[in-house]
Amino acid sequence: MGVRRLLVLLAVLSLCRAGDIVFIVSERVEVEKLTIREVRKIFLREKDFIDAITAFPINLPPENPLRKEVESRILGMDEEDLQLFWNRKYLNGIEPPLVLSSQEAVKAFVRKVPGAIGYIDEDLLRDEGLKVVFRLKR
Amino acid sequence: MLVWLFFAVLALFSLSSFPHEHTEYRPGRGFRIHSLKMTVGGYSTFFYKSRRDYEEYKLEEISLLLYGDPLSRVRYFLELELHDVYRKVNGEDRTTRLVDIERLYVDYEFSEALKLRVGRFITPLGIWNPIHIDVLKWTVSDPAVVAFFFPNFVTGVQLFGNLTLETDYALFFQNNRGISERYNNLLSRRSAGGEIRREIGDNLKVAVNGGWFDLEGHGEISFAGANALFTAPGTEISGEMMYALERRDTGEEGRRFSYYLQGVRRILPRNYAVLRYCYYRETAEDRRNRALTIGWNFRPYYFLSLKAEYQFRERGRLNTFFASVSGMF
Repeated sequence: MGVRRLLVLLAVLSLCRAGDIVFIVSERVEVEKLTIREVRKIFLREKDFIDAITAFPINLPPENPLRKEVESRILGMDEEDLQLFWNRKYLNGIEPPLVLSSQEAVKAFVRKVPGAIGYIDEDLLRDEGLKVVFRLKR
Repeated sequence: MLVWLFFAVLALFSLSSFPHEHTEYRPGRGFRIHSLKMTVGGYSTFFYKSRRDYEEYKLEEISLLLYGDPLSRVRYFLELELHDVYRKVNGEDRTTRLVDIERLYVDYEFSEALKLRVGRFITPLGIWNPIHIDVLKWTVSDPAVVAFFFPNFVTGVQLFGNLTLETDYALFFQNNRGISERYNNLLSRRSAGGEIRREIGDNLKVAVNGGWFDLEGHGEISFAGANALFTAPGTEISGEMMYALERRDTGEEGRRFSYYLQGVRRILPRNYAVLRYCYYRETAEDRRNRALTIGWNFRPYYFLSLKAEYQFRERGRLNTFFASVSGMF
């Protein structure tokens, strides 16, 4: 019984340690909050502007766990559906979001480019110059 | 043919001259030249059709795409297509290898609600017409709603955008001879129309549309329609209906009506079953068609589609088998 309680406690603790996924923009952008539908449309390239600035969504690499969580919980599509979706976009001249290799790179890019929007683990959010516009609870 | 080869060779040479770090190739997504914010890619289709007294197979097209977004609010798009690269009908050679400008346009985004497109583009109506490319479709054959109600392509101006997060629209106008007239289903030099679409929840989109066009030297057609699309992981249900009133210069009038309902379901990873019922009625020539299509679509890779389908027609002798292999590069 003691072992089971210990395992439950460890599981709870591990959940508590996982920070939320936060969507960040440059603090120079005047938007304060985005809805989940707005975030979804920006990452599907169906909404082109954030605060009258051209939106520039940034993805992490396909195998990144954060990206997988964003794809399933925000975009609401599995991998096969997403590939078919981007086939249609590609043949109409629309590129998927730019992919950067790390969360640090995402932060640096978003800080530098107005209109850029990316997602990172909340625990990595220490920098000034960035603003959280949407939070995905974990 | 020479024009086509010229563009292909030019594209390959220009790509190979770029430093590796500036160019990225992904199968089915083309070459992305990051420094120029430009993509070069394309697609191709092998098509087969057979019924009791008819057999056709062809390398239907080789298309070259070139598009880019050199400025934050500006996009351009070019699609060159080499048609009927190799075609045999009942054993007879019907190869044409004609080059056509399928699409050529420039977009400017004024705002989320107002974007401008100028050039030759796909008529922004319905669900099926904007995804007419074989590799994107669930079946090889097309329903009648995309064949007899409006021109598939417009050379002119399009205004489009998102009115709200859930509502978008498209309006188009043409008043000229048009680019690549021979590759359009209906010959028209003047047209106007539009569609307004609304999302209901996360899974359902509904739309209504309407418009008018002249039939070069023969009369004019007014049309209206509605469509709906439901999507969920591994499932897609769609339906469209169109009504048209045709007035000939001779004073004759005719009406057309058509609809289809289609269901697609992923039955195994990368394997999709398709079922579609299609109805078409035309009063001027007292024609009526009904077709039930049962198909299978296998996508071993996201950029490759293998399709086979059997179409049951009202008159059994017109029952038709279709197959295709199409891919993007």
